[in-house]
Amino acid sequence: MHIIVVGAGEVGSYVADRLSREGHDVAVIDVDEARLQQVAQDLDVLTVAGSGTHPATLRQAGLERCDLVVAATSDDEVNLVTSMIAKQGGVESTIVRIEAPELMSDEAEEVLKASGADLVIDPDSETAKKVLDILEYPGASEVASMLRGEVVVIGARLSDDAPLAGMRLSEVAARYEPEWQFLVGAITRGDETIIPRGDQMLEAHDLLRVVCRRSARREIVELLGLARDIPKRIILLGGGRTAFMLADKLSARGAEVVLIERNPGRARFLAERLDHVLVLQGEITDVSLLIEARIEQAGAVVALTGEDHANVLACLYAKMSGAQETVAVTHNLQYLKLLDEIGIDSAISPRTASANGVLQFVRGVAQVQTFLTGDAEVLEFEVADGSVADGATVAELNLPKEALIGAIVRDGKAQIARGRSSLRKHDHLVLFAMPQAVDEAARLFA
Amino acid sequence: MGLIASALLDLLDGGDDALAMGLMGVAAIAVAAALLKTRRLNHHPRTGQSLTILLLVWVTAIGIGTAVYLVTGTFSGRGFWSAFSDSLFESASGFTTTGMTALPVVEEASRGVLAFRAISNWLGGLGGLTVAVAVLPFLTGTHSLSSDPDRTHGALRSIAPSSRRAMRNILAIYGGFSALLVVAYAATGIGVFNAFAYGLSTASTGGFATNTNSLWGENNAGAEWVAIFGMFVAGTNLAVLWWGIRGAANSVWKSQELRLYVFATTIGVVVTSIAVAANDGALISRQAVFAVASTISTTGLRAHDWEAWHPGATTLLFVFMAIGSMSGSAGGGFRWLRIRTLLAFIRRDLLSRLYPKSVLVVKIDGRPIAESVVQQLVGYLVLYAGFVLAGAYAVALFEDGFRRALIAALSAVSTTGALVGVPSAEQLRVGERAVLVPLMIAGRLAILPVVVSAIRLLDRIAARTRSTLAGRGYTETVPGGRRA
Repeated sequence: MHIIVVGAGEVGSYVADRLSREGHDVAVIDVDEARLQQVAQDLDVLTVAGSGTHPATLRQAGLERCDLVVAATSDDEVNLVTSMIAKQGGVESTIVRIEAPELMSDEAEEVLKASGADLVIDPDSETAKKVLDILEYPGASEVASMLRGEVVVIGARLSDDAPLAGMRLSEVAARYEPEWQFLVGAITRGDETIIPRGDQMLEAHDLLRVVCRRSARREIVELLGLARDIPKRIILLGGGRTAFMLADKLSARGAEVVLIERNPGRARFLAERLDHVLVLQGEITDVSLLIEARIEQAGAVVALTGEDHANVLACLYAKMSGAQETVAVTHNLQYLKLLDEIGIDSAISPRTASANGVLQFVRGVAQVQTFLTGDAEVLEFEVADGSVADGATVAELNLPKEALIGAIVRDGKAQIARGRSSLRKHDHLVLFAMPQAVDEAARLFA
Repeated sequence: MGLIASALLDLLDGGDDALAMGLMGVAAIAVAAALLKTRRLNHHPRTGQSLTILLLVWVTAIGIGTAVYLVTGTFSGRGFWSAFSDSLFESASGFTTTGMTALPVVEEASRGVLAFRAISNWLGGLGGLTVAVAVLPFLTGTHSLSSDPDRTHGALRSIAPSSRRAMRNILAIYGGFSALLVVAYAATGIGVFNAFAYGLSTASTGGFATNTNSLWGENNAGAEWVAIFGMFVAGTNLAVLWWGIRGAANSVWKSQELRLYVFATTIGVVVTSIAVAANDGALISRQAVFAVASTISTTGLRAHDWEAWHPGATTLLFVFMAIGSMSGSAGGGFRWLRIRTLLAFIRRDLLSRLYPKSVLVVKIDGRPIAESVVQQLVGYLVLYAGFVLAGAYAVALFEDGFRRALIAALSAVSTTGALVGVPSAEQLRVGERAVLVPLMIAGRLAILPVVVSAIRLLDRIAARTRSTLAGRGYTETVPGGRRA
C-alpha cells in the first residue's frame, strides 16, 4: 500500500512508523522542515515539506498511486481539506483526525461527509477512554476491551507475591482447570516480548498480557497480585481536552474529581462547564497545591499535561505521598522504561491510542490493540466461511510460532481458547501476535 | 370583562349588584379602549419607566376594584370612609393575590361580588406571572417559555412581554390549570359556583374564599385535597410545568429549585404532622399537608386552626410564608430559587476557605451564575426583610404585640394573607390597613417596581423643588461649578 501521512507530529509520526514497519510504502508531509528532518532520520519513509492542503505537495508525495491518506495534523480544518483534495485526486480511502467536538456532532455530519473521510480519529477521546479503562482495573498498566467487551486484555507486571509467580504456564493450566478463565497471551521480560507456550515459566516482574472473560476480571487481577479498590477520589493534573472528557465521565459515574489547571482562563472555563468537579488553579508541580488537593487521599492521580517532565514529577510526588494509583500521559516513548522503574503504575500515549484505529483500518480487521512496551499486538478476527480455520481445532491450525489464539466468542458467549477448542465460521477470535506473524495468521481465517 | 362576567353571574343568581357591576364593567372597558386609542404607549420605555407603568397598572386595577365594592355597597352601613377603607383593602387584597378579606361574613355578599373577588385574584395571579416572565426574568427561570431566550432577558426594557409566544404559553397553562381546578372542585360536590370561585383563587394563589371560615367552612375532605394539589402546583415554576406538559420529565427533575421546593414541602409536612399528631393523635394528617401547601404557595386558604399547634410547626409555616413559592409562579414570597442561589454562594464561600486556590463557579441547573447576581440577591434580601420589618414596625404602632404585627406584615409582603394569631382582617384598624395595602402591592410586584417608582417620584419632587427655588433666585452649589 502507498500511504501518505499528513502531519509529522506525535500522532502522525507514530502512525507512519507503525505502517512503514509493516512494509507499507509511506510518505510523510509537514510544513515544519525541522520536524520532517527528524522523521527522515528515525523512520524509513519519504518526507515532503509543504502543506497537505496543496495539491502539488500531495502529488509530490505520490498522490496518483496512493491508496490511503492519513490527515493527522492538529488542525481540523487542514485535515478536512486534505481529505477532500485527496478524494478528488482519486485516493480510495482517507482517515481524518478531528478534535473539535462541534465537528463530531450530528449537525456537522455533512461537513465530514463532504470531506470524504472514511474514518475519523480523535486521539484525545481515545486517550480518555484508555484512562477510564485503566481506572476500572486498578493495578493494571494496560487494559483493552475486545469482542464488544466480552473479553478483556489486561497488561500488568507480575508482583513478587503474586500466586502465579514462579509457575510454568502448564502448571497454571493444571491448577486452574476446569474453571480456566484466562490465558497469558504475551510476556515481556526485559526488552524481549514473546508469545508463550506451555513450558514457559512466569517470573516476578514479567509484564504479562492476559486475556480473560469480563466476568472473571477481578479474580485475574488477584492472581496477578494486583487487587486494589476502584478509586473514588481522582485527581486530574492538567485541564486539556482529555482531562475535560475524563472529568465529565468520572464525575457522572459518581467519583469525586479534583482537577488542576495552570491557565486561569481555562480553569474558569472548566469550572463553568464541569458539574461536581473541584477545579484548582496552579502548577501541577506546586507541592503546596498538591497538598491542598489532598493528594495523599487520592485513589488515583492522572497527569495529563503536555509536559512529560511535569507529569512524571507530579505522579512521583503523588506516589510518595500515598496516592493509590498513578497514571502518566507520556508523549516521549523513551520515558517508558524509566516510568516503570520509578513505580508509576501506568503510562498512556495519545499516539498509540489513535494509531490502533489506523492500523485496524489498514488491515481491515475488527480491532487492533498495540501496547507501549513490546511489539506484540492483540487482534480481533472473524472466521470466514470455508477458511482453513472453519471446522478445525486450535491445535490443528498450525499457527505461526509468534501467534496464539486467546479467546473465542460464539453467539455472544466468550470462552478462553485451548488446544482442543474447535473453531467454526462466524466465530470471533482474539489473537496475540508479533507484527511479522500477523499476515500469515490472518490467512488461516480468511 | 371580569366585571361583566361577575355581573352576569349575579344576574343569574338574582342579585342586586348586577346592574351596578355591569355598568362599571362597560365603563372600565370604554375608558381602557379610549386610553389605548389616544395614548399609545412607548413600545420601548426605559426600565424605570416600565416599572412605574407596572405599578400604575396595579394601582388602577385596585382603584377600579375599590369603586366596584363602593358602588355595589358591599361594605355599607358604617359610613363612607369606613366603606372606602374596607373596599380599598378588599380590592388590594384581591388583585395582589393576598386574600385577606374585610368582609365580616363572607356568605352575606352577593354572588356577583364573590365572583368579582375570585376574578380579581385570578387577574392578580396572571399579572404576577407576567411580571415574573417579562419584567423580572432575572432568576425567574422562565426563559424557556419563550422561543427566544435572549429577548426575554431584554424584556426588562419593555412593559409588554417581549415574546408573544411566552404570553400565549402562560395563558394556556394558567387558564388550563384554572379550568382543571374548577372541574376538580365541582366534582367534590361543593357546588358549581363555589368550585368556580375556589378554582380561580387557588390557581392564582389568591386565597379568597366564599365562606367566612375559608375552605374549612365547606367541611369537605375532597375539596381540601383538591386545594392541596392546586396550591402546590400553583406555587411551582410555570416553566417547570411547561416541561412537564411537554413530557420532558428529565428537565423537570433537573430543576434544583423544584427539588428544594419538594424537599422543603416534605420536611414541612413531616414536622407539622408530628405537631398535629401530638395534638390529635392522627398519624397521616390532611391538616398538616394543607397548612404546608397553603403557606409555601402563599395562597393562604385556611382549613384548620394552626394556632393550637406546637410553635415548632407554626414557626416553620411562617418561614415557608416568607420564602413562599417557586420563581416564575403565580405565588409570592422571597422564592426558593433565591434561597437556592444564596445557599450556593454560601457553599462557594466556605469551599474557597478550604481550597484557597480553587476556581469556584456558582451554577444553578448547570448554568453559571454571574457574580453580579450576588449583589442583586443580597440587595433583594435586604429590601425584602426591610419591607417586612418596617411594615411590622408600622403595624405594631396600631397592634397589641410585635409578633402579631410581624405576622401581618409578612403575610402582606409575601401575599399569603393567612392571619394566624392576629385578629381577622375586618378587625384591622384603618392605620394598619393603610400600611398593609402598600405592602401587598410591593409584595405582588417583587418590591423593585415600588422602590424604583418611589425613587423616581422623590427625584421629580426634588427637581421641581430645586427649579421652584431657582425661580425665586436661590442657587445651588454643586461640585465643579455653580448651577442655577
